Amino acid sequence: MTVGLSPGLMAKGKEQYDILKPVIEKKYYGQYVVIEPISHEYFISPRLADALREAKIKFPDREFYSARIGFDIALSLVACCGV
Amino acid sequence: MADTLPHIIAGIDSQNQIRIEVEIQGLYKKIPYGAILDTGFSGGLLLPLITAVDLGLEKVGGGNVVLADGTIKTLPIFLCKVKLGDKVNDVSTIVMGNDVLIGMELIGGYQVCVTSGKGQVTVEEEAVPLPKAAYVQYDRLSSILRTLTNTGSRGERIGW
Repeated sequence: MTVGLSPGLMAKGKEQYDILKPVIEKKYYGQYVVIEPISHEYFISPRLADALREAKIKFPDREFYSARIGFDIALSLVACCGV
Repeated sequence: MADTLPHIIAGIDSQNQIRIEVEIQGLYKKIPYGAILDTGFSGGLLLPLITAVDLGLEKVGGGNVVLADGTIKTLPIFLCKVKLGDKVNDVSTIVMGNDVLIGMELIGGYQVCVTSGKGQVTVEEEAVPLPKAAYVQYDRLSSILRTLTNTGSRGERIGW
């Protein structure tokens, strides 16, 4: 199990997200977008896991940038033990 | 007698946390665990590193995560399967901390009822998923209600 992220994944993903933002934010606000930064393909779903699964089926060897549409973050932890 | 046994084991522990029995299914093995339900966690599963390594997870990329203290950190995101009741759910997973948490993404397809005074928690699979139109987000609902009742954000009455 490797834990590090591919170099440039977050920067390239964020760049793509900023381009997509005006197109997807109004229609899919609050849902999750998963972006494959090389092909620029993206997957949207109300559940992050579903968007990730769909992306992984299409690109089994790639890594993806994830974000909640309208928030620029993927997940939130507001009450967690010791973090 | 068997009819009275709960299908999904859940309850409140000595530290007043809701725990739900799940089976975490990694790439290498499956482990049963009484995970803490954290309604403040928007993802599906949070695991300590040692458990994640033991299970074997499928890394799918990364994202920014807001931590409990409000800081934003870039973390790897994994996919994992979690069995709750009879249903096996794909869940987004992050690795950190010392305990196993389950979040809102996992319990989205279940009805969770907490009777805190009695220490009872019941979890049931939703027989028929709610139609999208029936799902109303809290912030939208509260905004509509405040507009209708003409009150401010702290509940005080304005403009009467």
